[in-house]
Amino acid sequence: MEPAEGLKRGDMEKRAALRWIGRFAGTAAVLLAAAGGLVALFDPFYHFHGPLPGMKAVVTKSEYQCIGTIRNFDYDSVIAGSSTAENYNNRWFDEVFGCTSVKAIKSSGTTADLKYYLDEAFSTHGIKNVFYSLDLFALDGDPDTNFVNDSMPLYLYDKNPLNDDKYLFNKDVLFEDIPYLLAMNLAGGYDEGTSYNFWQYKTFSEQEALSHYERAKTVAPMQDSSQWQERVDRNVELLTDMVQAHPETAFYFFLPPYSSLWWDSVYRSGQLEEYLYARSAAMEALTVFENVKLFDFQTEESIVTELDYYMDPIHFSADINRFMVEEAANADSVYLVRPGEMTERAARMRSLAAEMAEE
Amino acid sequence: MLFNSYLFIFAFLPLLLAGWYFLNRKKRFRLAQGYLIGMSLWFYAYVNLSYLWILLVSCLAGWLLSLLPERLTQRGRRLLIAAGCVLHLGLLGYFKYSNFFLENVNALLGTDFVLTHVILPVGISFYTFQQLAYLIDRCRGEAPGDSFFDYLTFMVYFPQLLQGPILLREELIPQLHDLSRRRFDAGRFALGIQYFVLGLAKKVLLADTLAGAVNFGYENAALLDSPSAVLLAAGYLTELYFDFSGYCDMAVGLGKMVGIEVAQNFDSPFRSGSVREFWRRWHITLGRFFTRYVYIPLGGSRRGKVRTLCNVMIVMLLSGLWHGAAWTFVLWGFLHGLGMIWDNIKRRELPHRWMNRLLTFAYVCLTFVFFRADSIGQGFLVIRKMVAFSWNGFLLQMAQALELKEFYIVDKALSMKFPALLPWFWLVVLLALTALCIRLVCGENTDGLVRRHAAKLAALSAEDVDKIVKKPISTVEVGDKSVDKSNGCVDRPVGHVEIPGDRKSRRNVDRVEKGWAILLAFLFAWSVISMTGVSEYLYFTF
Repeated sequence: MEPAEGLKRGDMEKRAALRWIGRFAGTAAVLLAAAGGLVALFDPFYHFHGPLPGMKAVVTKSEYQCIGTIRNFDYDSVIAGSSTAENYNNRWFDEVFGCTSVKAIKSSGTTADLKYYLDEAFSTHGIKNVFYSLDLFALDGDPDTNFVNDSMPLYLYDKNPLNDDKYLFNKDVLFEDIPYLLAMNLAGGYDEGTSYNFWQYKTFSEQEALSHYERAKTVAPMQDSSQWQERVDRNVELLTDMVQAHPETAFYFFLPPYSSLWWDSVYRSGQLEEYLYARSAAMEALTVFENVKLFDFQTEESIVTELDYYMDPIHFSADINRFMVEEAANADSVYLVRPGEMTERAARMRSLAAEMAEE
Repeated sequence: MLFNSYLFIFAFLPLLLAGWYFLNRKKRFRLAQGYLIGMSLWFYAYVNLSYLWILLVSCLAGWLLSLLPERLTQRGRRLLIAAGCVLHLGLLGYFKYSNFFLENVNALLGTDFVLTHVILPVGISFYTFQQLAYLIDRCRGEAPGDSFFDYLTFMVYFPQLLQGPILLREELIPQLHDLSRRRFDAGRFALGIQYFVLGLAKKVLLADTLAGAVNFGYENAALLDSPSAVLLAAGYLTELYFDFSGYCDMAVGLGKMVGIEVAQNFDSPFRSGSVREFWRRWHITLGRFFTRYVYIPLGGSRRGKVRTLCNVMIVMLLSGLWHGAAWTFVLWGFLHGLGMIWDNIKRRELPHRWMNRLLTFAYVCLTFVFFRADSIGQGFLVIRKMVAFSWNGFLLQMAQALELKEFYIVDKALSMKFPALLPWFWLVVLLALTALCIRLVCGENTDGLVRRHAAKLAALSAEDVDKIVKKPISTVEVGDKSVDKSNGCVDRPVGHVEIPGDRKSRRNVDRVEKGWAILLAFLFAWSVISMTGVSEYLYFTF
């Protein structure tokens, strides 16, 4: 072969290879842009924007969607809590309080977890009301823990656009979340207020509640206050700091009605004193603020001893959630904790808990 | 850092390639090599910085030892090899085997030694063997000495750092000195893309999908029935193959993209007609290490039949132990040793090649049950389930554990309208996946596939040249023919492709090549969107 000819062939091979690389890269770029574009457009986790015009917000995965809805939805009130707050319908609050609400939910969330969401809401929106489900076990959580850890979809929580590729190029989002969003919109009848609701998939009955309760055979010694008091106090302090920092916001705290099974379980695990203390400490610390209303449903015997309202020791039916909202709007509600009632309420809870544990 | 991660594909690799080719183009060759080392160390240290110090200390000590052979007598060199073994295997032994050793001492002697909390540095099994091979080659006079700069590049070069292949000095270091490899070569780069994408698809689309059903099966081993147990064994071996060979394909592809190439580690192992052949095709560089540095020094096949068989068994037991510090791996190695001994002593072959292949596959599947099992007891449980000839429908549950999001809409539609059909739908998916896997493992491997398409592409170019020089060429031989004499890891000639001279045929071939580029782009995009649930490679734990 002549050198000139060899050179030509080398050039041609190079050109053919470059053409191949171009075809590959071009097609891959178009496919990835299409995938990313679809995700960015429908944005089922609301990471970039709120619902598209004419589309309903379909909100079912709290760890993936909560932070996006808090940052990008239009609202002026927040419903915060653990799974005991999931079964509220946002519309109940909106109608009763004349507001537009969004949920900040973390299953089994601690006080610090919920504060993370609320801080985000305060930093992005003017907040008129906070409806806060004050779970006693949340007051026992680590006050220093920030729940945004490696097990979470961090790319949705941080504000780093460079790791959004995990969301944009995501098979689960493309094949599951976008079709689900579209299906819920196209099927009609989807109620946006039912964000994170789970009651419709569960059975609430005495039998069901009892089937989820395994009673400890022995009663553990009561834990000493040195093991928990400082932790509880610091959690309460997180709440009082937040209330103090936002005097323009009305805070509604709800002590949710756990069933008699739950009180029995904490008695048998040696934690009864801790939770009784947590209740009282939270009530005493929070009710001194003018912008706070605290409602105590835990002493409502007709609810907590009626296991037909429950699916397990903690979780009650949506009817109870609805009842709580209605009572919160009632200025004369017997559940509203007023200064001077602390001792009486603490005594009532103590005696009720003792009764329930003995049954 | 994982090859199948967004960080690697969208940040590390573009940065590495841009910097590498830019510095080489500016003729800053030493700086380019330093850049390659730096990026490789970032790649390694990304998960855990503390591993990096172990790697660097090990490399420095290994290199210092490798400086000595020329100053020593024959006996001194043997002592040096022993010192190298103490150093490298000692480090490996501490991190990998100390707890296993203490557990067994406690069990045997009734002692109560406290187990240490040692985290296995990723890749240590691979770089330990690579350093040992280097030192032994130096002591044998088969390798010249190298600067620490080259030695470190050889050891930490990122495509082979975490899971091999276990390279020899002459496979890599001469490439570092070949400046023609520092120039961007579009043909080689295109080949690299193809290897990488096919490897990525094997790992992300096949291995990770199979893992859903396999993990579910092993987690519920007590519930297995016969068909599910058989499919579990075959499924795990296939998963492992796609996982590890996928990684190795990606490593080969990356080597081609950079221009410093690494060896092939697999050669269609499921076409093997015997266990001995299986080990010539599966994890080739590990088999080569054991052959060169253990089997032959033990006497190989030169000291009679019995000694040969003993040597084979020793090698396979060591291979088992290398894979993991547990008796399950030792048993796995023992069973492979038995298989190889059988190959040595058997008098007759089965009448058809396919029968030998089937038998070998079945036997290897059985051995890998122990490789995957949490305990020897669990391994025997799976095998008992296989031969119990029972059916309880567990296969349907295993199929549902595939959880392929691609079928989410079908899954939901069926669960709403025809819930009874749902398990059967997933069974069909599992069987279709199994059929696809069988087709892939029995068909052309990545190497053959890529080379065939490269040959077509080059032949098309030659046809273009024909038009220019007005001289008909119908047959061309393409590929870099700079075959490395020792190993063949560098490009082999890709063979001949004949394209009929008429315009229609050429257009057809061109269309096929366009389709190949689009198919690979599709596989790449599909793999990328499937990477969110990132999974580590199975061989990371070895």
